[in-house]
Amino acid sequence: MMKKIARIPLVTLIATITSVSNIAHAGMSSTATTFGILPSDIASAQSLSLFSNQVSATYYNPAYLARDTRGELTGGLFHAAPSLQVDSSGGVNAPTRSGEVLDDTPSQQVLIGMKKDLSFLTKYDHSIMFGFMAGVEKFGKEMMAFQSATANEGQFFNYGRQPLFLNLGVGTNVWRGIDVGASLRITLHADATMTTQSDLAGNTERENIEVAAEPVMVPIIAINMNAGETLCSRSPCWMDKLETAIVYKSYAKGETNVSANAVIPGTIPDPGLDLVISTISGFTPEIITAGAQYQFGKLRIGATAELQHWSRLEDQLQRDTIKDQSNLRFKDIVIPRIGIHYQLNESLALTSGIAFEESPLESSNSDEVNYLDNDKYILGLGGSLLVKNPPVLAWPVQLDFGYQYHYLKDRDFSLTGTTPDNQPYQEDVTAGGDAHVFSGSFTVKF
Amino acid sequence: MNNKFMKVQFAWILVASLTLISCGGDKQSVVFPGRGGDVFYTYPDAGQGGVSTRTPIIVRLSDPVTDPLQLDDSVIRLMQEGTPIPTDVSVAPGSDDRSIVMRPIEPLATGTTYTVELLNLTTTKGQITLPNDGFSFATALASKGPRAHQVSGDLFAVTRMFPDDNEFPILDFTSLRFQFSQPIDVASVRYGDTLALKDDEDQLVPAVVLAKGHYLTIDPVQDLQPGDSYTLTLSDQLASLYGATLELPFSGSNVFSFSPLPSGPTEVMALKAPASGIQSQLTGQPVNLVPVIATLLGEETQSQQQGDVFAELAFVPNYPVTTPLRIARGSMLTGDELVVRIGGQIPAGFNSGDVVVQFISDATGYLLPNPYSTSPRAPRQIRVFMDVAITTGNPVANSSFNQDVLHLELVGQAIVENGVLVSDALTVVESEVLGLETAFGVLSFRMEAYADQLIAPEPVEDMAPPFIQSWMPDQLAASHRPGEPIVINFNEAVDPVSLTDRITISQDGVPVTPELIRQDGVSVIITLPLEYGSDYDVNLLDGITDLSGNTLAQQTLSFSMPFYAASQPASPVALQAYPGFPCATVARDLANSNAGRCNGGQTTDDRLPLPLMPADRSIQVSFSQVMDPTSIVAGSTFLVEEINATETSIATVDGRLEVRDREIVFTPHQPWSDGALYRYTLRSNGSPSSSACNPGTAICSAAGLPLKTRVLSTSLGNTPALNGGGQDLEIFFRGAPASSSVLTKLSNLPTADVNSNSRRDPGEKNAIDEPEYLKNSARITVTGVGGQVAEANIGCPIGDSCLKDSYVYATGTLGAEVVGFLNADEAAAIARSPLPAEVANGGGILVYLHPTALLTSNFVAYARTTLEPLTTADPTDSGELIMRLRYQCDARTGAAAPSPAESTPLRRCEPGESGFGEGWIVEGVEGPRFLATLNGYIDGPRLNAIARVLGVPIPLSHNQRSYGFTTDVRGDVEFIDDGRMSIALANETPIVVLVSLSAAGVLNADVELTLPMGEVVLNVLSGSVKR
Repeated sequence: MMKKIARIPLVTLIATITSVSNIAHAGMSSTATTFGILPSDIASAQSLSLFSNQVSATYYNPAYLARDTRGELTGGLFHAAPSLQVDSSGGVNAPTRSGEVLDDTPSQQVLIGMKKDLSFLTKYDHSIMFGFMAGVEKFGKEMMAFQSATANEGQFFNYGRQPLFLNLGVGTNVWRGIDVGASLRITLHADATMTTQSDLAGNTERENIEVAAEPVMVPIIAINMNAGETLCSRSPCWMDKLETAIVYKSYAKGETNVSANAVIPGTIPDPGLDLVISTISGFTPEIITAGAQYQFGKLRIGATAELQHWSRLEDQLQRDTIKDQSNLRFKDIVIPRIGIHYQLNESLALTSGIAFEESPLESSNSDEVNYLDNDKYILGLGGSLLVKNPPVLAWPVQLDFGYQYHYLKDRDFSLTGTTPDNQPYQEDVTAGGDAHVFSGSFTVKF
Repeated sequence: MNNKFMKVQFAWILVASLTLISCGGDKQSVVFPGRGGDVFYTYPDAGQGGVSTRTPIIVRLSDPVTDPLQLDDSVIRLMQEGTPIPTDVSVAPGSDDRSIVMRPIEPLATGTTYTVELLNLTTTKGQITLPNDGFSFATALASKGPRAHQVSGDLFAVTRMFPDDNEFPILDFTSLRFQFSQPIDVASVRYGDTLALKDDEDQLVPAVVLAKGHYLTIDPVQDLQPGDSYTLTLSDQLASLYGATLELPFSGSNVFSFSPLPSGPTEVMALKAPASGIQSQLTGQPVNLVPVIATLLGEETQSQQQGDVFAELAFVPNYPVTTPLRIARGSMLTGDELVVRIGGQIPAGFNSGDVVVQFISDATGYLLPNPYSTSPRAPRQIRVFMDVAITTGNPVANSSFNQDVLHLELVGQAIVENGVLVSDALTVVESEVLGLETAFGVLSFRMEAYADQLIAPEPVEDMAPPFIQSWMPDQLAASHRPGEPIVINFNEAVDPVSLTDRITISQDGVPVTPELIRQDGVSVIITLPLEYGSDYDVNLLDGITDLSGNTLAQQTLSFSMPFYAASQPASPVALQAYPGFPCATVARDLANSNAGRCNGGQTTDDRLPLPLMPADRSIQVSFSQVMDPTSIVAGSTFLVEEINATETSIATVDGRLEVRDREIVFTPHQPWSDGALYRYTLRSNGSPSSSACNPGTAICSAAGLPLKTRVLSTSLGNTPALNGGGQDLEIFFRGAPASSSVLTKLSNLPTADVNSNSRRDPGEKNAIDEPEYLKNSARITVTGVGGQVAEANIGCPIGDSCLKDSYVYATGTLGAEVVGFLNADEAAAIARSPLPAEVANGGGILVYLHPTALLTSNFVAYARTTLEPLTTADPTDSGELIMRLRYQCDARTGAAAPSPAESTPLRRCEPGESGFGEGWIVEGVEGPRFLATLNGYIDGPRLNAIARVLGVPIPLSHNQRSYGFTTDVRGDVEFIDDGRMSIALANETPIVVLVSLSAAGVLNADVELTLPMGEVVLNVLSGSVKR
């Protein structure tokens, strides 16, 4: 007789399996590319991240780890509060929308990072900086959640909960003013399989569930150059203040595959009913970033151009069983960023930056998935306070604060799909909104 | 600024910022519009064809209707070519006000397209709309009646193939079904010859082939090989009942090639059809209750079906949208016994025993997306085509009711409720009752899957061998006549494949080949030209099995046809003509519905009412002899015409003429027109004294004698010869609307006068030696003499004892029309003659008796005169006696009432009055009883009394012409094991006949003959239930 204790509807099982897989993500991309990792990155709208000597360089430019051989231990909090709005112009079987904000799901991460010179492990006196950076959603309470779904009411391509961010890297100086670095961004590919025998009520027996997460390491390589050290034969030289860098980040995707099989006696015999869901749970495009900064006394000005290859995502989504029907089209984009850093005094510094990020989403219609995305202007502002002689601690402490504002330029979309009652619908909407990002960190330099 | 202050400030700003930002804006709620109301299910389905004319129309909605008590044709209506069809509209009880039931007031027309229009149907979720504001369906063609009702076109064509290998894929386990534009001639269905399913090696695939009416099923015995190529051939040798050959059925070809898809791995789902008594959510009727509504059975006969159904599903992941299924051949449902009450009120004396519905081929079905709604709440549609045999446990009932019902199409909804697949489906079951009437019943078929299939019941394996439950003629060989089939009724359906070449027949020890062996239900019907006096053996050879492979015990059924004395051959006469009276007539006045009187009768005879012919009935004529089929040709020797009141032909009526050994049936191509006058003519040789018969110009018997159309005469000299012919037999009638009453033919069988020559012939049986022949006999006694008759005796000289010679034996056929049960008040209101006490008190089933003429054999009377020896009397041969049953009224108009010498004139007919006699079936102590009053004429046209005066023969005239008599008859109604009905009527009162003889007013002789009470026995027997 079939036991009744395992009254778990099949869909619930599948949902359970998928919910424990890796890479929590509501939209594509990640914290690092959408906002920035540490307050300094947020404040400069990532325009100076190529030349940050904080631990977030592990991601943005691991070569720059070599520029500051001091060790660091950083902890911080991150809160992104988007206010993503949809304004309906009506349509066929269009829903009634009351209120303006479709999605205000925050991203709230706890950040932790560390860098350390590992030269003491070698027989040489040559710095090899090791960096580690991680961000965990919901202030550390949610490491593995994601949502990949169709959305009748529309869903924003970016924002929302962000995936676990995990990055390890090293950087070292190789020749006069030239540093190289490499890091690995670690993502997880999750595979879940389930077999069971069930009746039509979902009462199961002979259940077997296997969940496996496979780490996938995505390389980041970087090189930066202090032009003065490299090119000038004597010092001082005007190029001593000029630093350039170029970074290549391979694309990263989180992928989750769920394969369930149910034999339903009386209805579906062995080999049973296969339920296979394969979805891209997060995607960061291939990125090539090039930038330069110049130090004018207390003022540091930097600019970067970031080429993001989003078009690869089209092929990825064709293999996504949830989104394959939407025929999404993407384009490669170049994001310009410019920022300044002003050192008020020995302890206090201010940072600001701006960027314009064109939407990579070409499609204004994606059936059932109904992705929304906008061109956006990004303004960052922040500051840091260095406490050289803090109480209790033996080492200096740096406090950072960053704020970022995203202004989403209005864009028209056509939403299509079927209503919950399975009626075809079409709705013309205008998507817009903004986002506020706050971040603070605490860094011990040792 | 000290560091401590700065740290506090920083933290405060951070927390405050996070808090503020977390408040967010005006969160948007998104509410999609609801669907409004939806149609979830209809019966018939949109576009469905072949729907019973008795169908209700069901519209199942997603939500309750807003005002269930206000449904009428302004909300939903049934239309036919723009004309509203009256219906009763209501909400099915127990349907949560979601199922609308429309019941047409009258049966729908056959082969007609109807449209259900939704005008203003509103549910609690909004108004219901459908594409084109409704849906259409088409009714089935009729299985009997005029050609116009049975065909959808002049060509014999395949109108539907199921599955079609397009919308419905053909799988390896699929049975193939075909429907035709005309009823198929089953004799043309010869598997391997006129139709064949062959594999890719051109080998015939063993298959069960079922054909009936417009339907043909080919069910391969073994599953086909998926992926292999098969060819199905329906040749142009397949013919319709109307003689048309099959048009190319498959896009200009008679070959259909296909490659079946794999069904496997299949899974068997066990479902139960419960007898829970719950109401169907579709109709409000109890589920799985099969009503059998018919005039003969009333409206209360029903059988509660239950059992397990094992549906074999194709591998669902391979067929996610259209999921094929099969219910294997041999599956069965069992049901409660039918309480058989004639007319729904009078116990028939038997109940049905368990009713079993057995699948005689693999049922093919599909689970389909809901055709009307994409709502997630909408159930899926299930469609199943099945061929079933209906059998009953009681032998009598089994013979009466068993039958195949082919292409029963279930249309239902299926959805998982509480983890159990539940299906509610509808179909209309039309079944034949006693082979006379088509009953119908709406089956609300509910199946519920067993929740735990792992412990669900397994199919019960049938280990019991089949056996013969009854057969015809069996013990009633004396009543068997050429033209009647041999019918073997098994207790369960036998495998038709196993029957092939396993039934042999020998006549007097010599093998003979039957014309046709076919199956229907559990019956095997064998048609062959039986001959009088021959001994027949029906050999059922080893290897005949039921559907489960259990073998029938080898056996032989033997019978002997009755002896036919050929010494005095008689011409055939029409024993019964429907409509009308079987005699050539004179003095007609058709304009006034007066069909005249029988030629040869008295001028004072009743005028026969012009009969009214229901639109869909057939002309039927029964003969006293086996006929020469080549002599009966439609349009030649048998002619049907539409005429005017002056009997001028307007047009010839085309129709289908079926010629059987002793009977013809003519069914018009078009229904009889209401009010139109018609005449049918049976040609004879024009001479009552000539035995010559040319089959090309006159209707002849198999013995070559002409049809005798006049049996009466006003004088001995004018009496037709025994082997003579006569003028053409013309019978007139007027078309009328269809009738719900049931017509049946009752033959006076058995009779000792097998050769129907109205003579006692050497070798013929008698009632004394074989009491079986008391049936349809009458004993004649002398109860008084007068005039110059001193003494008289019947059968032998005075003083001798000759009881066996005092009997006469009847030949006849009676038409009876069962109207249905009437309570006492209804009976009193409708009856034109005094009601029997039983009917006056408790009502009864009214049976109209169609007047006709019975013939009896002769007797010889012996008399001693008071004037002997001067005057003596020769033995007097009565010749044949003709007993004409009279109508209840006289159709003459205008003239004064006649003053017949030997009978009482009848009252005048009222306009439209049929004048039929009235009989009643009432409940008796031991079963149903039949009561009637017979009012008739006796004629002895060949009565030849001779007195000898001094040896000189002096012929005497007599009064035995249109001599009136009246008697009450009663008898038990019995049903024989082979399904036929038998009524043994006996006279309740003596019939006294005063025979007056005279010669020129000088010699007068009176003899009072009495047919004692209970000694006039008319035993009538209905025909074979199956042909």
